[in-house]
Amino acid sequence: MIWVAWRQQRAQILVSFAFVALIAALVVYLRIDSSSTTDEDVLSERYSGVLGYLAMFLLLVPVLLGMFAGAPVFAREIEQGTHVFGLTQSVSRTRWWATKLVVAGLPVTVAMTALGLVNAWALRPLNFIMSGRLRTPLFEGQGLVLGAYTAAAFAIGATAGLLVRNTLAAMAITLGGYTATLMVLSNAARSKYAAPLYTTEAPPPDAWRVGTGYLDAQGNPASFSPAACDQDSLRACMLEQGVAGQSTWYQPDERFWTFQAVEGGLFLLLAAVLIAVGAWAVRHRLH
Amino acid sequence: MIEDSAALTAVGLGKRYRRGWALRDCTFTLPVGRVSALIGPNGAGKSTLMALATGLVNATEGTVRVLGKPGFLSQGKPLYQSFTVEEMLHAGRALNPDWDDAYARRLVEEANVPFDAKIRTLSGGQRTRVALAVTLGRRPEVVLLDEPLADLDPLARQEVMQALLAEVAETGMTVLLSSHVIADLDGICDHLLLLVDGRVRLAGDVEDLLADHRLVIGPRSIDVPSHAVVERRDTGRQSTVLMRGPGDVPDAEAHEPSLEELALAYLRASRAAAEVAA
Repeated sequence: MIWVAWRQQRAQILVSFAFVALIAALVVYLRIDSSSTTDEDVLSERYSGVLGYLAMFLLLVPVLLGMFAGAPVFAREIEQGTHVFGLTQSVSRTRWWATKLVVAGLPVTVAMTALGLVNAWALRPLNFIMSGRLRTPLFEGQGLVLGAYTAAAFAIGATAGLLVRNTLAAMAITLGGYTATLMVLSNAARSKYAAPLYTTEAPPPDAWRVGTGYLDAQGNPASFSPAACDQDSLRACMLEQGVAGQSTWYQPDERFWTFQAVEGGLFLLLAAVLIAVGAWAVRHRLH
Repeated sequence: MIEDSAALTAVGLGKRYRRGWALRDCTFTLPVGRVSALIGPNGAGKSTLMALATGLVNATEGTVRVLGKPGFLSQGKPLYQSFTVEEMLHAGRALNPDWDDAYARRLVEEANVPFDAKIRTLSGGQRTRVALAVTLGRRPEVVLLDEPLADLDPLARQEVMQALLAEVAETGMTVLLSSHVIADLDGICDHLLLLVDGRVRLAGDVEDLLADHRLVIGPRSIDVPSHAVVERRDTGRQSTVLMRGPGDVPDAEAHEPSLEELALAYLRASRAAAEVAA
């Protein structure tokens, strides 16, 4: 069965590998090229453009793999009727399903995990340009999450294909389902993976500010209404309203790997749930 | 004659999909070592019956049991389009520990299909022969073929049937072959299973069934006992009646029907009955 699954998926697997290798080469080149200086102004000026494009592109890679490698795994076979051939041979349907899933999904997940680690090393000197690696989109483009994102996107595509029996629909479900999950987690959940630190001074430059407040002269929380200000300076207006300082809640850069592990774990959990649904579907829904 | 051991036994078999019953209350047996024809209009439940027998879908009610190793060629003859013939045989070997590679290769060679040709480049006839080789390669004892002749030209149909019959004669396997083109099955099948609207309308040995029926042609005034009439068609001054059982009809010509005449009469009668009911 492994040979059959490999022969069926090898084009997708090899293209995915080439794609990931190309990105890795680009990122390594970026690191080598940027090592000539440590001057932040020079780095920022020289690389902010390419880093922006790269980060946006990396945001798309897992969902692209889910759509083009995951969604067709079962949907295409069902469309062409060849799943009937697979299911009426001597291998059990669970083994048929599991082998296809592992042969098609594991290589891209491993490749993307490796890319994530390469990126974490290569982007180290450049993260500051886009206010640190804890923030979107740099957080999504490096570390442990790339592999977990890919596993989840792949699982969405594969299981959707089993259920809707149509490649195009499975690709659309992958795009919508994955994007919605990522948006919800990055906007609503990520800043709460650990209790934020509090400071009344300026937080470290690579920290992720998750909340700010105003303080009065005694150091207690104060309210400030910019709408009540006249045309005079903002500072004078704040003093007028009794605001003497600012406070910040932030996530420090040292928590990067913890956050990566938490978010990676959440996406792996999603992948596991979808794979369980697929295991049920292949036994009770596929014919 | 081995009448008491059946290759396939269905008892009260039924399958309901969301849109309704595809098969209902089917009870029949298929004799061992014979070629049985599964005839019915589109949507009669032929594919559902085969899917149930191969275990591809589970029955909603009743049971179906296949005696011996089953082999199945589903409608459309699905093969991996990007594989070569050689790789398709490799797949058969990889998926079946009981694969007989020499036998499968011989079947492909007899069909004059090159081993290095991609499946998608094959003609309909070649594709069918390769699909047959892959289906028979695991030496099944009961073979279910769903519309294997559907997309073939007449010459290819004949070649495929000859190849199949040669293997039946050699191996003694049981075959159930579905088709909605009855003429293809005449002279090939010795057992008949007629399916209409998910129910078995007629089942039995083809020779016995033909001998048991009369096609009566005479003037419209002919009087046939109504309990014996399967189907009556009145055209102009003439009537054509398919009747079951013995009995002479005065002033009329009677002869044994062909398989096609028999099957079509039953199919028409079922449709007319359904229209009356509706």
